[in-house]
Amino acid sequence: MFGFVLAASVFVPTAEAVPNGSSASLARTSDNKIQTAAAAEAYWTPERMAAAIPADGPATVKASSAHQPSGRAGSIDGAAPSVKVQNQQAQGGVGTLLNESQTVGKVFFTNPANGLNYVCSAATLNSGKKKLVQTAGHCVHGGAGGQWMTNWVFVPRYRNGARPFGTWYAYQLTSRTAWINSSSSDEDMGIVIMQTNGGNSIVNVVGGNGLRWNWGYSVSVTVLGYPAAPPFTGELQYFCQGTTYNPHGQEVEIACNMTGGSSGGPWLQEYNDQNGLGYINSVVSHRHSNANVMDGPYFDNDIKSLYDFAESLSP
Amino acid sequence: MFRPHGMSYRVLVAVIAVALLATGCGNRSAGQGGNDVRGKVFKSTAVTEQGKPRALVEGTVIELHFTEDGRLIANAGCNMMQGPVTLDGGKLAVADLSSTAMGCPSPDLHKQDEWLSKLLAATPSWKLDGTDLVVTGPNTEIVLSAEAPALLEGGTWKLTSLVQADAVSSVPGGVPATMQFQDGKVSAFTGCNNASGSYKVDGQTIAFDSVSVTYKACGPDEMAAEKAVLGVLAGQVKYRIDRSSLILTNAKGEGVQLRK
Repeated sequence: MFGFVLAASVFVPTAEAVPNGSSASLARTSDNKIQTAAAAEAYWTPERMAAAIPADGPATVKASSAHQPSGRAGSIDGAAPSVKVQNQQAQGGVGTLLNESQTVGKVFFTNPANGLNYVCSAATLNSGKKKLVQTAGHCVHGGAGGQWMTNWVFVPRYRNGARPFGTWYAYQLTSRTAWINSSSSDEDMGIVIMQTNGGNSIVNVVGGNGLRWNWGYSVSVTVLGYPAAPPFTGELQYFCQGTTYNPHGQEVEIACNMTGGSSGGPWLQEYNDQNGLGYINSVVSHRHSNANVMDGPYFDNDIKSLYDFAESLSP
Repeated sequence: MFRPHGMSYRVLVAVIAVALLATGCGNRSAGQGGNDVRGKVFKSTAVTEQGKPRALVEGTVIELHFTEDGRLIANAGCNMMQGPVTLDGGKLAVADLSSTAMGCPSPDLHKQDEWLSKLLAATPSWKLDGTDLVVTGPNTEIVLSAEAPALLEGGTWKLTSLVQADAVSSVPGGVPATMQFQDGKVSAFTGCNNASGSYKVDGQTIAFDSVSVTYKACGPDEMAAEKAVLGVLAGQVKYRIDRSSLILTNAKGEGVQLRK
């Protein structure tokens, strides 16, 4: 069975794939199997797999006028869970497959502007009070003239309806003023303070990622998320890996073809699939006309400021 | 970007005059530089495709927001699309439309997003018909009406956001704080206490005076809301209304947002 895991390494085929970019791949589940969801199996016909473009190298595109980091590089370390739970991460990452992360989850919320329900992705963020979750600004607030989302819940390592660590409710949503007043894409950042669940804080249960800012525009990251729009199902965690670059403004871009639902998914430096932790260095924000690349806000002093703000509000 | 200086006022007037003569109709003008739509939000009232009405996904409308800084923010019920827009020569041109990557409630909404994105990428024409905006693309016409921003006076403003300079949060515990403005008198419920006083509007500034507050103690969520509300109920405060939101900011950069 294990050998099949390697053989089953899959990538999303697309005729317009960027030459050197990584495409979204399935993350391997904790029971050491590649996800075999019916939908994913149905999608992955032999023809499609044969046509798939392997993720064999980082993007080499460089912006002509790359921004330089402003301010000293900063880093906050992640933390492993302190509360024992039944679902332990399987050991052993193999080849191009990655173990999914229990610090990454699917987000469900309602936009009060129209009463409809949407999904995003998010990841836990380590801090002294152990209650923070990082996502995109638009996953917590509708931007200029918009409203805060409601019924906001985070389901760590959601898969095919399974909620192995339960459903966590938001206590308070935070974002950058430039996001809620102007929908500024450079500041499409949100941090959510979660309620406790069964008396435990979320970072103590699933662990919490570190945070890095002012780390430069060209870094290697693993993007994790729950793309739900075709050809993906939103029922499992997918990943992209590559090197970021500066496409415009204070943003980073990476070759990754995740679709709607991946918003808010973490861009992790040094993702360790043995413990599910990395350093969050951006989040999925938006795409332009090329569906094979995605952009996130560049993490500079603004994210540290938001982090400090959210932590100060955290009970 | 908008080019307010690209065409002299005199030339603009002449163009409009010619347009009026050509149509023989005073309230119908082909789209010009976009000064009439800038800073406004339009919501669809009718969508026609191939000459027949096109039904939108239930609960959704097409929304076009032309920001003061020259962007178009568009929404078709799911993801936020935006990009720099030019409106010259009656054409609505978005150079580089981006779209957020949320998962929509149904595949139909993803399709509706794509449909709008495609229409906007096709550089549709636009014109004002009275106060309505009409956007016409290949086989498609959308009629949108301008959204009137909320008024400061009358009705109840409900507290939605607590602002600390560049960072902002929702209201903890959903504390139901409110403010009301009417005829120079302001009254507020901080989530814990009642406050009242007088105010005077001068341009984008509200000056509060003689504010009195009851003196009850409450839980931490209520006190957080109270601190923010009382923080803008004193002295000179900057104010702005964006659609249905009231944004109040004090001299320290702290403030609140409320919604009608």
